[in-house]
Amino acid sequence: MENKIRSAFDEVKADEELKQNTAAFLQKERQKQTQVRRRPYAAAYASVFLLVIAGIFSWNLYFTKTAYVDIDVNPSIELSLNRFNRVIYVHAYNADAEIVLRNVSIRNKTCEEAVEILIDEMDVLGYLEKPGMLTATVQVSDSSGEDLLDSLSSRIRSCLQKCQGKVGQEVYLVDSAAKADSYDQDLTPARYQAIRELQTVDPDATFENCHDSSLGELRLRYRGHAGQGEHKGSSDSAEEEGTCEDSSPSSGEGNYRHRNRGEH
Amino acid sequence: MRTEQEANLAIEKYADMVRRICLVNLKNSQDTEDVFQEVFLKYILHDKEFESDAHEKAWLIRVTINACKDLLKQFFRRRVTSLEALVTEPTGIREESREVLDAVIQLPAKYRDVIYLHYYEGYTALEIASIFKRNENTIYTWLSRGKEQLKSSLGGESFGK
Repeated sequence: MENKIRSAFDEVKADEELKQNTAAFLQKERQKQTQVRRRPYAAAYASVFLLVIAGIFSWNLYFTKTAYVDIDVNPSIELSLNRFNRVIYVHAYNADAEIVLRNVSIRNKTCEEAVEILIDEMDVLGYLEKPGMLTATVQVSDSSGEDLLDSLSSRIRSCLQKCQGKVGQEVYLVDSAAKADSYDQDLTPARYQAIRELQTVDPDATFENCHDSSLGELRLRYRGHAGQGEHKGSSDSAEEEGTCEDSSPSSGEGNYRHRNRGEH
Repeated sequence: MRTEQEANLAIEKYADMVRRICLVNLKNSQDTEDVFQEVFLKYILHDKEFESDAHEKAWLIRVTINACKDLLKQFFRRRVTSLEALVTEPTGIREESREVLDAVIQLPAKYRDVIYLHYYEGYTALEIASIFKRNENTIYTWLSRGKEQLKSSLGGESFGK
């Protein structure tokens, strides 16, 4: 009987159609499984790609310079700002500037906060004790220059009042060409313009031999050569808003526009 | 996931066995095809290596029997083909063999698989107990009872020891 059972079951076979249908089914399922397994990877790759793109875009957005603020007392400092009015780079034009920047951290601060910190530090270090002028130039690549000029002037004025010094302020816009010219000479736009003015009355003045002179010294030399009486309307004494052309013999050469001026 | 080649080899090697277990447990060819697909799908998705061919075969037996049971539990499949249709499903089977198969299929469900595994596949009661995760004595009892019922339905000849 055992043989009969074995013999009977021997006759039961899986037909070819059943095998082929099963193989075809498995093929389809394998493709589905592969797709299902790929989908999470595809989503992950897409997410990583988007994150990288967003990161590059954000980095580029944040670290693109859109404005420059150059400050001259004797320390001469350049602040590069991004579109969010944050300081992204700081440049010391001279040794005094390096001393001022040594103990302060102004990166990623707003322009106004940074300027306040710098003025406080200059006050602590004694750069604002003598009567003089704090000159700030603003070069902005978009239409926000006037707003920045207003807020910066206001903040500088209040800072200088706190310092109780005898330092006045002048804050004005410069255009990109003026900024580029001064950048090439590693000078602030204000000092660059002062040297250009000096050159009109002193042929010996060059960017090299005037490079380390402060803005006050340059203007003093200019007055010395041009004659005090002849140039009463020079930049140190101008009281009104207007262009630097008002106070400069070489008025036609640069595009400098005063926003604020006065002495404490 | 196992490769297409592995799947085809398994189908070629075990299709007849799976078909026989389906015959013992199911009622029509549609169910058989469903179980076939499920069993071999589980096979290709089973990532663990089998220790041996015997291990692989035992795994397929267990999966096939469980798939058949799961299919039968489904409500809408309970009212399918009559018993008469069972033995008419496989084609090309001699009348004598058909009677034997009919007798096996009409055994209580728990006896059918052990009769098939013992008398056709040659598994011992201990091995069957391992596949079903049952006590060996239970398998002996099922074998004994199944054998008695077959003897009764097929004319009283004794089965091989």
